[in-house]
Amino acid sequence: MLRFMAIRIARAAITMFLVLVIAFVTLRLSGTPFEFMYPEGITAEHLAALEAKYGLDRPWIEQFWVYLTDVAQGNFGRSLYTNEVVWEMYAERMPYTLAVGGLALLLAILIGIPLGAFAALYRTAPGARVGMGFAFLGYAIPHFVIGIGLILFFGYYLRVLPTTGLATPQHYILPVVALAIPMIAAIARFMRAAMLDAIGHPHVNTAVSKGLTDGQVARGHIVRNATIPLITVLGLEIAGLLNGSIFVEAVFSLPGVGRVLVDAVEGRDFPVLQFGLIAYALIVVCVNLLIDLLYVLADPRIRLEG
Amino acid sequence: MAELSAPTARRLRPDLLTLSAAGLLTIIALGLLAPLIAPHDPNATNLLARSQPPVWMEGGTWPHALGTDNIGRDLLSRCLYGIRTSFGIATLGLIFSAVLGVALGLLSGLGGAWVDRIVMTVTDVFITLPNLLLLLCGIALLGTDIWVLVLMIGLIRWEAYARLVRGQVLALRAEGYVEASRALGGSTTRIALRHILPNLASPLIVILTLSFPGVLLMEAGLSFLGVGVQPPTASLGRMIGDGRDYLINAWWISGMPSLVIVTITLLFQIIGDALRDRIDVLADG
Amino acid sequence: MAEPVLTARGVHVRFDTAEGDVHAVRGVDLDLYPGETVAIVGESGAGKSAFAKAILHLHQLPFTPNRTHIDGRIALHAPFETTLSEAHPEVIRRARAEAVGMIFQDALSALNPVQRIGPQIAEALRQSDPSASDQKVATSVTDIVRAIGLPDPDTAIRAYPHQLSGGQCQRVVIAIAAIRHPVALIADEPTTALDVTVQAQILKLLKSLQDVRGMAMLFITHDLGVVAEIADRVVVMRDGEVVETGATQSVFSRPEHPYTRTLLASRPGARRHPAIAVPAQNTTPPMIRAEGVSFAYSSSLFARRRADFALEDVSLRVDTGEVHGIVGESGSGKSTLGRVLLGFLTPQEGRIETCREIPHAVRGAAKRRFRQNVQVVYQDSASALNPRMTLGRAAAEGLEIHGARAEAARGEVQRLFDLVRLPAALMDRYPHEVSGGQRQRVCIARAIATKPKLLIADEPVTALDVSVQARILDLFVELLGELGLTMVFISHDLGVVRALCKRVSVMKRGRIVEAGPTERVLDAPENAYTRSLVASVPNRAWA
Repeated sequence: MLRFMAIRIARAAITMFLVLVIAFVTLRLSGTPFEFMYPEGITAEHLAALEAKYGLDRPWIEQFWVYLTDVAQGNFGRSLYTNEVVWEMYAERMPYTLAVGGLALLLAILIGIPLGAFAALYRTAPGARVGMGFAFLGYAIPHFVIGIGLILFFGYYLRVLPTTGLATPQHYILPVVALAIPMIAAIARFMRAAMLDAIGHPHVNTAVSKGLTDGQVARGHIVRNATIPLITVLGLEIAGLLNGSIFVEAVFSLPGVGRVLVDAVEGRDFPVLQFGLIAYALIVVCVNLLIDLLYVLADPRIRLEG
Repeated sequence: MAELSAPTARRLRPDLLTLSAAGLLTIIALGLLAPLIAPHDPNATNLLARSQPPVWMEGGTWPHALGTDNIGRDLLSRCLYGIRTSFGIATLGLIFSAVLGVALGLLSGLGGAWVDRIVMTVTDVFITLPNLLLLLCGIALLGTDIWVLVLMIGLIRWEAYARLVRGQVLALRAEGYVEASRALGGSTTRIALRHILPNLASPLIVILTLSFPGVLLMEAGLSFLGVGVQPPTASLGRMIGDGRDYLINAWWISGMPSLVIVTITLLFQIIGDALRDRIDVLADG
Repeated sequence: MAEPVLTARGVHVRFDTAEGDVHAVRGVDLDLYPGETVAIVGESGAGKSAFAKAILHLHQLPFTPNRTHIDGRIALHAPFETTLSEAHPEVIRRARAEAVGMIFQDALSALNPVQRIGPQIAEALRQSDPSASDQKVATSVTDIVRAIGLPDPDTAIRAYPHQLSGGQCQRVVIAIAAIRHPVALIADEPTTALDVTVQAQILKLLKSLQDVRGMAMLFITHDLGVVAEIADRVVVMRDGEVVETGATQSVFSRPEHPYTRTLLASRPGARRHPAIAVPAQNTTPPMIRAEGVSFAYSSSLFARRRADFALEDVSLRVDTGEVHGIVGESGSGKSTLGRVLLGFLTPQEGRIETCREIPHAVRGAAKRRFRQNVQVVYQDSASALNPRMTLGRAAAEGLEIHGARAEAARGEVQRLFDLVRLPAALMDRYPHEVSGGQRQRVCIARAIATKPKLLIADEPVTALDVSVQARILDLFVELLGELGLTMVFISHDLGVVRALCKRVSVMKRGRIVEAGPTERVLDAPENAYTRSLVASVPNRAWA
């Protein structure tokens, strides 16, 4: 177990390091910030002086070190346009992104796991077929199309739910649902497959021959065994959730970080963009470490090795 | 015999796979033939026919069967050209990522312990990178040229193929017939061509089919956000994004390209699932 | 005689499959009396497992569509008195919980991988006695774990299945079946997946549990030796029907049905092949000479522990024309030795010469010659044939590699198919379309196509039914005589080795512990391990 976690932590560290390198390279390849500061042009001497002042004439490796120290101190620079401190731009908006994302995750787990389990246990029940049919649709339709569909139906046709912003709790309903649907679909499909796998495993024979009731077999020997592999896909799904939030925020005009990122790409605002990259990477890496830990604790075959 | 046995009956029913494949091929053909069959120039504006609804709604006309957008461009023509753009970028991106992934997977599976370890570490790291953010950084840096999209999509999607190929190669290498071929004096090339590649082909086709919608949606998503294919080129994602502001009065501007995208991804999903089931059956017995 | 505990009358079992209706059991009658052991014996497809499962309706698993139809009458008698075949699911559940215990073949996968051993056993007891206190359950579990002979019961209760060996897992499965004091145990091939020494221990355990608790036992097996060892009565099944039944002793010594006779005659022990003509020995150089060969799968670059060695200081000499057996249990290194002889693995120490070449170092033209001269046949014929190649092309592979043209190769393959007694029509079939025995014949044809001098056969008949096994062994004998082959025959089955091999080497944990003429080694073993191996073979007279 220690060995397993050590490998995972080392891998997480490599990932973060790589992300920092990419962020740094992106920032430097994008040109010097002085071109933005002096759009009317700049003399060669002035440029050299500025570069010397900000340390841009020193070797890359040294600059990278300076960059790392800045990052470590939380100094990510300012937006090239608004001159806002990058850190604050995100800090203001991150809570909305995390709130919508967290609620969607919760919803997806609460619906996806039971749906998948039910569909596997009662394969022929009409309810299971309809449920998995919806899961199939949800899996194939992108967030932004789902979002538009929800707006049209609940916002404009039924006129029961607000469609823009996050002013009241009701405002959260559609974005959270739009973000959750593909994840519900993915979890349900995976859970169903894992359950069918567990149902076909010979230990279910043994459980039946002990005289357990169907319910006891399902609880003790199927659902539990199926949730363990499910844990591993949750990590990937959470990364997908972060991606999806950018689209959902665009569809519903939410005040989250998605808008900031898209504007930064359009305006080539690299200080803002690189912070986004690092922040997202950090979230994904931490979530994956947590998932790995959960997995190790849940599966004795890994917990007791090494 | 009075009644058909189950397999015969199954064979006689027109199956979902055939129907979906036919539907998908039709859509692809429509996209390829867009310049020949599109009723209008996709970029021609007609300010007299702005936001005209599709033909089956009140106020719709046959010349604009799927309606027009807010500046009077014909949605049917734009959808046809959009299919062309989206399929083109997705196909090239997929080919690029598949070539990269298969090459790395083969390297990993056949290249010895150390190569394997390095490639697999890179793959494991890649899986946890926030790929959409990388894509955004790349686009910000290199611009939104179509080739940049292809390159970036290829660069961030190879990892699944590398994993699959490596796993298959390792599994196949342990098969008795590979060892028997070695015992008969078969060269590595012969083993790779005769025994490994043919058995690698079907799972690879399945995973490529299943991942095509993802690639297509990645392009559509970027265009939807406004950082993908740039106007005036017609792209399904961009059309959906541009129509967002007119949802109240003219839902079809976003709705029509959305329907097209959903149809394409669903067909791919159905085909991919069906192919996977067949391959699994093959593998089982 | 007393009342039977279980009776079956006219039991039929049918499965709906994709290929249509399969009638697996066709009217089986059976009485099982208290305390006795009845063995159902037969080859694969005989319907013996299907019948055993039908008793407790174990075909019908929860949450799985039912594709099985069971007809006929199956009844439990005193003290339960229920007709299982017509019973309500709840009654069947009570019968599983209280009356009849079931033991499965693959013990490791019969246990829940993510649950500790203790709770898995306790769960069985709680079903039969729901009112039992936690204290009582815990005591019973400890008692049974001690009774099944697991070392250190307290640790075992807290262990997970993957921490136990295959034999230990099977003991746990037996504990689960026996803890409720059932009137009968149904054991479905319980020792087939186990090594012969472990099998002997498990049979002993079953016997002693049965004696102590007076249980009846229905024992399903394909192994006649096991039947002779354990069963009071035997039921011989074939194609879903009982062909013969009676006291084990009388059926074995005076079989009445022709199929029973074939089955008994197919036992490797019943066959002594005429000594294969061996060309003048010792005048020619030996085919294999290995001295002090050690090999370790390098799991770690830094620490190679002694335990990592798959082969340790192995010396072996096989003369030209000899049939040399290598026997050992799983993990003894016998297959590794085969792979070293083929040059697929490079030993870290020692000298080795196969067919006058150093197998792992041979290069160029000598390597081509070596590959023609040394051939191999594997256990799993399904994996040994490329699923996407026709059988004819598979058999022709060696010919093609060594430069034969397509038409010439096809003619030659036709001759080879004839030689291994396969109809030429099968040349255009794919591996999954033919039987295991036919596949193995194709593998043999492929191996002899290049006219090799040495054939390494790694458990070539292990996966086959006993009658098919006998025919493949016959084929080997014919080919050896006809082609003048030298053969290394790797097997865990002492009976097969005795029937075929002139000399034998016994392996244990990577070492050859004893070697010599087959009769001498197996009849008067000098090494303690060989003695225990020989003693473990169930009822040697019938193996």
